[in-house]
Amino acid sequence: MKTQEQVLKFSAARKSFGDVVALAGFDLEVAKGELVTLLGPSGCGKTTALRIAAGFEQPDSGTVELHGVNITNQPAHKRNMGMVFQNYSLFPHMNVNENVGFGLKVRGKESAEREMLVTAAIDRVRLNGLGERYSHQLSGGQQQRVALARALVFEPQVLLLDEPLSALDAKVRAELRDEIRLLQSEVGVATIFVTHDQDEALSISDRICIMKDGHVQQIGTPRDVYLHPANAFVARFVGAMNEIEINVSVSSIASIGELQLDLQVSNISGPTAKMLLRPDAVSICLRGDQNSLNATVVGQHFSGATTMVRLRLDHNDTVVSALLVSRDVTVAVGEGVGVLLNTREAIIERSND
Amino acid sequence: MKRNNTWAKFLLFAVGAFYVLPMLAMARFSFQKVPVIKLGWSTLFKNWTIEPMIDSVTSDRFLEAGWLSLRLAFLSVLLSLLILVPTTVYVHVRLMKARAFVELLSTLPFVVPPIALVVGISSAMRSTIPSFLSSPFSLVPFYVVIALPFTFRSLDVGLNSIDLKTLVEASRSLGAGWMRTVSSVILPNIKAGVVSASFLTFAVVLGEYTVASLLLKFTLPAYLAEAQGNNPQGTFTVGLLLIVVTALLLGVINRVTRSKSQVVSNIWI
Repeated sequence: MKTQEQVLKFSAARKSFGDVVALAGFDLEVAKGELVTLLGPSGCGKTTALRIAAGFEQPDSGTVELHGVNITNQPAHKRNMGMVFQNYSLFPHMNVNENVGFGLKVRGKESAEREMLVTAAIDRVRLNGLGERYSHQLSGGQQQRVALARALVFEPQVLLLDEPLSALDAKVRAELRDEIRLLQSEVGVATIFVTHDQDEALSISDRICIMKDGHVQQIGTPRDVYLHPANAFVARFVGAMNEIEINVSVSSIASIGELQLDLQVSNISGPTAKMLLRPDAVSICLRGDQNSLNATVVGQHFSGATTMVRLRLDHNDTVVSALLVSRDVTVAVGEGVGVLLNTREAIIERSND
Repeated sequence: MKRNNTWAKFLLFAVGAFYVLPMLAMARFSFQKVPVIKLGWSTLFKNWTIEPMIDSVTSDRFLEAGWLSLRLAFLSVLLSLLILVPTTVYVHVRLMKARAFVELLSTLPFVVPPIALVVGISSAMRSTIPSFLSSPFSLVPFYVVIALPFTFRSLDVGLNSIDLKTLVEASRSLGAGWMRTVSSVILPNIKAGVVSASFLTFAVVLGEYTVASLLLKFTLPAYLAEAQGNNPQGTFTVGLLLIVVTALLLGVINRVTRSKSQVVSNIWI
């Protein structure tokens, strides 16, 4: 991605609404053809960042550049960016053809050319034959497809997607998610996708920008963010996490009960700390195996290829989850087992107390 | 259920009678050449005539007043829309916090009697722009103000019934400037509100008497007051005519707001 042409660039963009800082010094670059997801809980500033890109909000300071040109103060309608909204945004008085053709009409395209482009765009989102329908005659998924066709038909330089899937039911959401990704890579448009759904973010993005309280926490590929979270917030927000209390000795040796962990905890001073560990870094062995903790199986959650096993650690009653390949799971609820912790990817957090 | 239905029918009938009976009486008085004292069952079918109406509507005074009222109505509708469409849209898009305040302002004409309005404005104008009040079209701003409670409400309801913010942002993101957004996206979606605002303003202008007579302008209601002395039957025919025209206008509002592409915005009617 680095070698590709930068399309959109935020530099130190700040925005407050009254006392609330929505965006605190936001930096991001999006390359041609790249899909960057802004991910975070509500109020983290992701939507504000998108709206600043679209021109619906002005940053208090900082700049937005499009192909190296400062567009911070350019009005929204001159930015040539396509946008799909969370709420259904089709014009109710226009049919599908007219909706999709609106951006072309505004740009003064001849009606013959318009018709051709509109038909192609509608075919592309697989809605051929529905051109005469009005929005109230379409399902939610179909409406978002039309919105997507409408946002792409005039070949925008940037595509902005503001939680376009959140109003749809699970099955349609997954389908449309894949379609958006396919279409986006076919067209090769720089895209910002805003969501609060981590699964969506992990599956659709080239890069994910995780935000909290207006601050960027980490920007990286889905793999990076999942496997090497920059901090405890990212670790907790993306994917499931086990939280296990550990003891830290004066000489920075970490342990759980009697078991010494293979772990560097140089920057933690307290007698206890919290270890964050992915369920897939937890595995089950026989009781008494070397470096294992004793635990009891308290539950199993089967989901096809994988099974999530819930285990209670004997020494302090903490419940941890282990994500295992279903074929390997041979334990039953109530059974005593050993638990192995792969601490290489663990994140250590200072205890609150 | 059945009992409720009977009651509903009875009520409908009673209300209908309340409105229709006086009009029927008015119709007999206007269209029958029978001395008032003899109007009864025995004379029900005697001497019906449209002569007084013809006299009335062909008189120069009626034509003068009617023509002025029509022009005033048209201009008032135009000015109302020119002022209120951008204002209400702006309030809804940018200043939703101020909506309650604007709504309150729009109801002021209900509270301030027309006579206070006239006295206030005319004394202010006489000392600043004296020529303002001499033209009959000086009535237009008064009518815009008097119709404000109706116009604001119609447009406000129209805008409330659509997801204005999203539609505006969608339109702008597609490259449309504000003018285009208002004309191609907002107006078609609040068509019902615009039409009812227009017709209500129209009806207000056709019926307003106080301001016109205080400012000595010869509008249709002023004509009705004047002609009552020399052609009472004729004035009543004109009065009936105005009622029928207004009712037709309301019928048109109903039809427009129920047209099928307006499913969303007809909730209020």
